[in-house]
Amino acid sequence: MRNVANFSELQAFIADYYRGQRVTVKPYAYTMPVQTALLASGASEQNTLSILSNADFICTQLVISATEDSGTQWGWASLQLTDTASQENWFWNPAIVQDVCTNANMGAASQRDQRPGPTMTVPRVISANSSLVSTFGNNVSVGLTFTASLTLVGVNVFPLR
Amino acid sequence: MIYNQYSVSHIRAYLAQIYGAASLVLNDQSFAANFGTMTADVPESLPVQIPANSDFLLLEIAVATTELLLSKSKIQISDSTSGETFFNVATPVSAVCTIESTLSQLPWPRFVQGNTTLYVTLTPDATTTSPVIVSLLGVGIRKG
Repeated sequence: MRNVANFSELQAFIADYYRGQRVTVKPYAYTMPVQTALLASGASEQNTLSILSNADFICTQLVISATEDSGTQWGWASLQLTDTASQENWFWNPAIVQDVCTNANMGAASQRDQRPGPTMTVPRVISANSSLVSTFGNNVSVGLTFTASLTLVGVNVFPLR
Repeated sequence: MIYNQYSVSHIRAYLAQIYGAASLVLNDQSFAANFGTMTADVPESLPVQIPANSDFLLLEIAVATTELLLSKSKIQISDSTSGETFFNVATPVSAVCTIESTLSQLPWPRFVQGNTTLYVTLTPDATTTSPVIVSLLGVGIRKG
C-alpha cells in the first residue's frame, strides 16, 4: 500500500469526519476484478464490489493490476466507479486508467513492476454496506487481451457504540 | 532516500492511545516467512508467530525475491485467532507490498497483540527458482 495519504493527515481527516465519535481504524484493501475476459474495442465490462456491513471504508488510493502483458494498450482503458445506492459517479466522465490509478504491474515485462501513478487528492469515504460498480472500458481500436483487477487501498473505520 | 511516513513521534502518539501513560520499550522488528521456491498458481501458507512478551505494530509488508514475475502474484494474511483477513480477497502483491526498492507502507498501522499467529498465504503466478520471503516490518512493543 503506497504511502499516499500521510498518516497524520489521515488521522486528522478521520477525526474531522467522525467528529466526537469513537472509532477503531484498521488498514485494509479491497480487490475486485475489472476485466475478466477479452474486451472488444468500444466495449465495457462491469463488476460489483460489496463493502463490509460493519465498517466504513476510506479509500486513499486506486491501484490497477494486470495478469497478462498488454503492450501499451492498457493505459487507454477507461474506468468509472459508481455507488449503486446513490448512483454517484466517482468521475464526471469515465477516467483514463493511467490518469487516476497507480499502475501496479501492467505493461511490458520490463515495466511490469510497480510504477508510480496518480494519487487521490483527498480520501473518499465509502459507507458501510455500500456496493460499488466498476465500469472498465476499451477505448482503443483493438481488443484488450489481458485481465485486470482494481485494488482500493485504505482503512476500515469501525464505529464504537 | 525512501520517505517514511511513520515518524517516531507519530508512532509514540498512536501507541499512547492504546497504552495510555505506560512506559514502553520500542524496537524495530521484522518477522519473516520464507516460502523457499514456489510452484505457479499453488498457494502456500506459513505461520508468523508474534511472541507472547511483546505486541507488534505492523507498518509495512515486503516481498523479497529475484523473480521478475512475482509482482503479479497474490497475497493474503489472516489472524488465526479472530479469523480476520487483511484484504477482502487475495490481492496482487504489487498493490499492497514493498517490492525491491519501491516502498509501500500501510496507510494506517495495524496493531497485533502478542501471542498472535498470523498466516501469510502467497500464490505465485509463476514457478520460482529462488526463495520468496515475505517480511512483516514494524515496531515491537514491550511495557518497560
